[in-house]
Amino acid sequence: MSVELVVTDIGRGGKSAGTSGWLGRIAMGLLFVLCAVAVLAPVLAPYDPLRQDLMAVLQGPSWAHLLGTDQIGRDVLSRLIWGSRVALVGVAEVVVTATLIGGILGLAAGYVGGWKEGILSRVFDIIQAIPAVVVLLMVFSLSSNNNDIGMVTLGIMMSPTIYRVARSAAVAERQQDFVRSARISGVLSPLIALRHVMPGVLSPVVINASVLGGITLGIQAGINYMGLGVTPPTPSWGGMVSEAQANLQRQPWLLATSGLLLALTIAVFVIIGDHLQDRAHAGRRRSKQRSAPDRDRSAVVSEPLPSSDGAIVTLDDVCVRFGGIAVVEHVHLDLMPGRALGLMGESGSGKTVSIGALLGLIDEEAGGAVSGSIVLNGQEISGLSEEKRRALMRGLVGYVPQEPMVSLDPCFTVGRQLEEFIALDKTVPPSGRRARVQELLGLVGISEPERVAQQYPHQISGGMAQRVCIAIALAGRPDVLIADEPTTALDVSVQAEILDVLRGLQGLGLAIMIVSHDPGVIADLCDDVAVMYAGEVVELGSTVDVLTCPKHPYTRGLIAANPTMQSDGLPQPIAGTVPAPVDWPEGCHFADRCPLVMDECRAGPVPASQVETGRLTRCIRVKDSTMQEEDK
Amino acid sequence: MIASVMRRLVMSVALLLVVPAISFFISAAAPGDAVDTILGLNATAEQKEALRASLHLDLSTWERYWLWLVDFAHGDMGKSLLSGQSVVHQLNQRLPITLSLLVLATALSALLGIAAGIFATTRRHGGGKAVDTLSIAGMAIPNFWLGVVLIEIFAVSLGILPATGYVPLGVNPGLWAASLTLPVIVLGVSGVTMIAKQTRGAMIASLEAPFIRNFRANGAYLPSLRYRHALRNASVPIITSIGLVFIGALGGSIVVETVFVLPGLGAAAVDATQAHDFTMVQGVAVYFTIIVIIVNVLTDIAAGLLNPKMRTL
Repeated sequence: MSVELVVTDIGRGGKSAGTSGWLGRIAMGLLFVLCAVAVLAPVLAPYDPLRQDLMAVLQGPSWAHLLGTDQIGRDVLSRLIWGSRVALVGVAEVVVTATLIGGILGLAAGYVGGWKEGILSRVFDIIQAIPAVVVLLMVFSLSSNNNDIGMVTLGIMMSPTIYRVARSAAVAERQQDFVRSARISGVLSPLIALRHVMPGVLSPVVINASVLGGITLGIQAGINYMGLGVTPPTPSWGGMVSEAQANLQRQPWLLATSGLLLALTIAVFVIIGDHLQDRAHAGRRRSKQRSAPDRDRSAVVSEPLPSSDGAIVTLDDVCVRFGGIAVVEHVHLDLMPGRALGLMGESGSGKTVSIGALLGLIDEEAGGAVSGSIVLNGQEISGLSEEKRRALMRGLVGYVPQEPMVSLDPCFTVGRQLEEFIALDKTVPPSGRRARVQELLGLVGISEPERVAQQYPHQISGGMAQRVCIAIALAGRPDVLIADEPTTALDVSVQAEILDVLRGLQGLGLAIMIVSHDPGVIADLCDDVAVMYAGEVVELGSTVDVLTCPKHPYTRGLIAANPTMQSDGLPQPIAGTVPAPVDWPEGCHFADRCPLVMDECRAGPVPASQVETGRLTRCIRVKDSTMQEEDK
Repeated sequence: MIASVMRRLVMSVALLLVVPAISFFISAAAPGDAVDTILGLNATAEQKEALRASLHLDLSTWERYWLWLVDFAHGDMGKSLLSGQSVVHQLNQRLPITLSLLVLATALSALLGIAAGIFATTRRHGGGKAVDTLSIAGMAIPNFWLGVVLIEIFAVSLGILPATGYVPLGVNPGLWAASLTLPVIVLGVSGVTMIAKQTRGAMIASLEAPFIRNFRANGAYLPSLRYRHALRNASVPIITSIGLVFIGALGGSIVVETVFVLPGLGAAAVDATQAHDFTMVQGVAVYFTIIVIIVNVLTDIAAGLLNPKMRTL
């Protein structure tokens, strides 16, 4: 009766893994049995619960008394059966009171919103902050121990828990489109509240009411144990624990019966709550999930690819799957020392996942799986353990994230975060770390490194944060820098500054791999470019060749869609969007959006073909499309 | 931070006004009055009238409430209806017992809870299951029953700890510790799973933050990610849950003090309830409210100090 008193809705917020379906059903069955026992107590109890038999006190279990007798010879089983009435009636009083008050007011507050909601919520905040048991004691001391008044009071004290879940569920429902439209269309407000909002509110309220039932039973039994509420000789489970304590030395068995029954019944309520919550979660998950077609793409035959000799990073035939669904397929990339490679494509084309595979960021526990070969500086790293892989990558690879503002730890200053990565570089002695912080911040163009090093991430701008992230990436003196959309989250003016920083690093001899959806960024920085679409590399070659003479219809579409790369300044977007992995076409992934599509394109997987030295294109109409382009 | 402190202050004042108000309005609604309780049923009408006047029972509820607030502002919460002694004086003597029980139990909850939460985080799926199962067990086992079971084991069967009673720290530190061991364990275990769940949830949320991905990709060591960054970022929700556990333990302390016959505030409230000594129960309610307020303020300050965004404002 302690902690959960105040914090049920917080403590039980998450999805519970503790109860599977069968346990929940057993609990529901047990609750039904308990209710039946309470109703049929006069029929089921073998003895009068108050009948004393001083000739048979403190007996253990026997055929005459299945669960033994207490200190004045009363039948324990009969007292437990009658005690279930006290327990369940008390729980019902509390839960009904709390659910009515909290549920109705929560529904109303969430639906009405505004200052009325604010006031109601503050009132319930205050109720929740009052220690419930003490108020219960005040009521008992003034009501001559009236149990019903006490339980209703407890229900009021417990109502904030229900109020909160009902309110937030109602707020969520209110913001749904059909409720909004119903409001606008002039259907009477209370009617909408009932018809549309009720179903969404009911489920969380019932879940919490069930858990509340368990908590209530614990509190109520504690009250009875202390000789309040229901008092002897009326049988209550809590009171029976107290009697057992008094006779502990003579008959410890007494303690087991009432206590275990109490624990079991509380567990039943809590498990039912968890069970209902799991079912609500499962229902939501099912409605979101679609079944993925089971396709085997391993049969794709690719032509021999350009050699990887001398590459510092090589991805070969890399495939990434999440929960069995392929999101990146047969990706081959080479990054040469000192060169810059761009990965270009729309959102959802698999760029970030590909570099995630390279960096070892695919979460296997979440169902991610990477296959294929990843070679870093001549060493195969794909099959290695996380620790070995990191050890190989330290000092070799640096990573620049997409969203700098959330990519720094908000709890540490810039300088301390940077020092942690400087410490990975064994050539810097601990005493030299602070100087190295200044050096790195200067390298990325921060003019006041002293001041910035002492600031927290929330105190600096996005552009500044991205410079700090680049400094972190450089701290280990890497040979390779992987940058994932390094400018996307930034203002246009700041983008140019960050590109300048990256260009400066190229001058220092770093090999850079940049992910971007922006052909302008790629053209600005990259020697080579790989165009990705729906999990595949569809075109690969030198940036100049690919951007000036695209071979794949998708590459042409991307360039046409970019305003800065059009002579007339009129962008022509590609119709449609990148399909989700489950919707990828059987044949060419671009078939549904391609202006040149033929029946053969949809017949089967399209292999990548080498159209010129160092140029790859994944299109069966590459000759036709090139001709068509030349006709223009 | 200033805004949140102000909001908390307003809430605190409201709480301090509401709790005694509840008690006055309950007492107004209740049948019979304190005079019968004190004098018994055989008292003469004059005796009753005199006592009624001295207890201000002849005034309206609002007037009594106002007089109580004025007295309270001067540190006076009236006299016990039973013993006639000052409520504040009696409760102040009991306060250290309850406070040491609460502080030690919460410390135990925090220690075990954070450790279990970290352990559960490192073993993701199995860990979640274990914490959830334990939390059902933690809720299901009533603390008073656990207390009696522990008395049976450690006091009756093994005889290594006292079953009940309290020895002040100043009298004998060893016996003081022995007398508090079982009560602290019983009160402490109920908070463990709550803190463990919060720790695990907050750490997992931190470990999924983009900056962890960034640091991981840049070669940060796993222990640093877990214990330096994720745990540090989880510290505010953890502190908040510790505060809630402390407040929750207030309710639990009433029962635990009864089980182990510790002469603290909770036991005073239960005794007073049985004796219909209303001013005493009211006093405990106000003491508990003040403890709630202080814990909330301390939690807010701790959370503010741990959050750099608040600290640097």
